[in-house]
Amino acid sequence: MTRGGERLTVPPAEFTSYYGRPILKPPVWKRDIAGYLFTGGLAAGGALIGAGAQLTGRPDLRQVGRWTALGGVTASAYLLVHDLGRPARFHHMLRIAKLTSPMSVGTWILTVFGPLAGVAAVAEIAPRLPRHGVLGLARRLAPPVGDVAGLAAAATAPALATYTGVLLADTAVPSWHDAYPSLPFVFAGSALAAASGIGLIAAPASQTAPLRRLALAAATTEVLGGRQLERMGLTGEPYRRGRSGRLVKAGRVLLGVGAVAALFSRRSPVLSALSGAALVASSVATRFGVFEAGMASARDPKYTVVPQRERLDRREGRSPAEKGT
Amino acid sequence: DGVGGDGAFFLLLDEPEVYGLPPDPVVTTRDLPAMWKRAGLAALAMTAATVFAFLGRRA
Repeated sequence: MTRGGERLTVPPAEFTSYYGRPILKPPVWKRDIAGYLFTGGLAAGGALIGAGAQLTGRPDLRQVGRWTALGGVTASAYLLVHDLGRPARFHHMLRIAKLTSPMSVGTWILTVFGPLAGVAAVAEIAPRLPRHGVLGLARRLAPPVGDVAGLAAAATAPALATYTGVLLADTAVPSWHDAYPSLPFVFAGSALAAASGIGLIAAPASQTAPLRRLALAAATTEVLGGRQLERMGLTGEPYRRGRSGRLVKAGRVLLGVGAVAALFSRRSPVLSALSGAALVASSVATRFGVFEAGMASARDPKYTVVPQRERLDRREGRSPAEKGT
Repeated sequence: DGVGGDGAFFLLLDEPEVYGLPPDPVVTTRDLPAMWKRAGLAALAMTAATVFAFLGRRA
């Protein structure tokens, strides 16, 4: 990106402030939303692992997956309500269903996923109930009900993990919108990495073989899907530079280290837990990095103006001489 | 015309940037179908990754 001498870079003072108004209203989202990107993904990944463990007869891993899903979705609900300000506003979101609003679609995905994940997780306490009486009946009913709920939660989980990519991209924030082909893949990989990490920490080593493969698949998805982020030209800059760039980079390094360490951790509980922690930390860093990158691109008007001006000039055949056309 | 529909009119005597306006705005929702398509593909990839992980040989 050559900027020296191009007439498109109008001095910042002129377009940062016209009667003190920024060219782009930055999103009103607080850090809660970055946190939610992480917890929502964690919940989705947990539900998928729970269902996979359920279908392949790994009860301890199934329990960890289901509890991860419930913990993640509970934290998500808290963060979203906190960001909205009042719980009643979540209820207001349920008064409409609008396909053109990713926020509305997401509200409905969460509303379906949350209770299913909750039922599946609560069903795990069945073995601790007494054998007789009313609770004895619950003890017999809970496992099949939990199995159905667990599978249903897993069926909605991929939507929960990936819609957030659309949620960010369907805004005027330049670095998010230009990244719309990549964001869902980055988020899908990050979600699976985080949930695999929790499983590697909490489940017994005899049942975590699938998680080692899953962490590798998650890292592949995230890296392949996300390699476009840094190559986007000017709007890719926040993913490379500054605070947001450092977070994205840290996320990628932790992901690689965690996925590789997981492969070699079969016999070492300590290494398993460490690789799991790296995977969880990677997901946190990636989510906050992507969130911060968008915020940075909204604050600096050059990310809005320069690409648009270039597009306009190209269309009107006024390509800058520097480009040699 | 990337925005569609006419709201209010402003007569600009200079480039839009001078007034703190974007030079070539588009409604980002225009790309929404393509965005949902990418999210759908990513969701499929996520499911495929999980199936791959659990179908492998048991250790």
